[in-house]
Amino acid sequence: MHREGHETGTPNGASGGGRPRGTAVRVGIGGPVGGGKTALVAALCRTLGQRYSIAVVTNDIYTEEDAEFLRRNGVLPDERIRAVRTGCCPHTAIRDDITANLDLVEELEAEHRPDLVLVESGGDNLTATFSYGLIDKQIFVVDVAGGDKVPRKGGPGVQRSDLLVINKIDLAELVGADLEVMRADAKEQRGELPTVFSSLRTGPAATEIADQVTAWLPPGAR
Amino acid sequence: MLAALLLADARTPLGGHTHSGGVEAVVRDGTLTGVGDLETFLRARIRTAGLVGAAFAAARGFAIGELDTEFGARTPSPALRAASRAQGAALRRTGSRMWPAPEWEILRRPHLPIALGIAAVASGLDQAQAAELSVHHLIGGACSAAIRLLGLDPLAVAALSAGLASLAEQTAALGVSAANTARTPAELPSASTPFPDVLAQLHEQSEVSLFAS
Repeated sequence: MHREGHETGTPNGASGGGRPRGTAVRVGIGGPVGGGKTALVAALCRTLGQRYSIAVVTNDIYTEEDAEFLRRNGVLPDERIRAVRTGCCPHTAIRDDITANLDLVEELEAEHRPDLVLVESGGDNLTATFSYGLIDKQIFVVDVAGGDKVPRKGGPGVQRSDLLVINKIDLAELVGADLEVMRADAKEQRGELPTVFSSLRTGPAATEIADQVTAWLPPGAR
Repeated sequence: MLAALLLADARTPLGGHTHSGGVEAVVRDGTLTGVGDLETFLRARIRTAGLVGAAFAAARGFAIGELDTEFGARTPSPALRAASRAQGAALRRTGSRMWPAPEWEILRRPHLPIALGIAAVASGLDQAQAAELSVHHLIGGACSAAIRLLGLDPLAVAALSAGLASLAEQTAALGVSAANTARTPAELPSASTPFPDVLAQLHEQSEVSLFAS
């Protein structure tokens, strides 16, 4: 894996602040611990990786095991994955102080000119949300095993994310989650914003989610 | 004054929250286990790394690139050099938006005290304020990391920070005077604490670490 850090302070013309825009579309993937964020990153890399150039910044506690998971499942070479260590504040790193993430996103954009950069947040709680200073679109991932009341609880991720993914629907019956309740609550909370029900176990291509991400890419990239 | 408060405020996005100032490494090592150890650690760090940072943040009239090189020479651990540059880059990113100035364009990833010196000049702070901010961030970063990693009582740690204020101020003043007597950047202070430097290097190589440094 690659850690943040540079040995040179050499001058160049790079912009000093804000968002120097490349062509990459940046998509944040957030949500509570265990919902399937890393699995979704792997699925998107697998499904979209042949057509688009992709890079990933992960904010999760990143171990060799995670790297191996992405290598094995994500068909993404190591040099396209960077990890931010968030100082026990996953929330801060994607919302209040996005500087560490911007640093790595821009580094990947400069090195690989990707069409798409996925920024995976560390597992957090329902109040987590990405700053639009860091990303262009965000996906919020929850799972049925977290309880079918989750969409009703709301929070910025459930209410305002650009795509809500309700994952692990294959487990719904086992955990007594009522998908229709979740569907109705999500609709109530989100209005016209899209919600996708998925199981990355039975549908490892994550087709519907990948289609949504593709729609966010500029016509040239598509 | 307001500029100093903004630069001292953890709510200003300067990237500091991802760094522990060496605390995670000494916690992992078992050397730092409570508020008492944190005080011992900080008193040593303020007198050494704190003095060096203060002097470099307060240095005026030298070439930025030369200051940056000299600060790098005082940071033997590659991991700590990278951490210092990452924080300097974050400060540059935000600081150049808050107080635009041509000096920000000299280095893309300056060391942290160099970036702090640029921010201080650009925002109209004096040398003492720049030096005190440098020491303040050293203390604040370590304290906040220790609270998060060990679950220390934040009120006790706040009291510790207040108790360290006079040492911090004295150190900042020493830094300013060293900055003003140095004829070249090479003559700026070079005190260090080797043990945390070595641990920082091991920290960088450890598989699971929560802080960038």
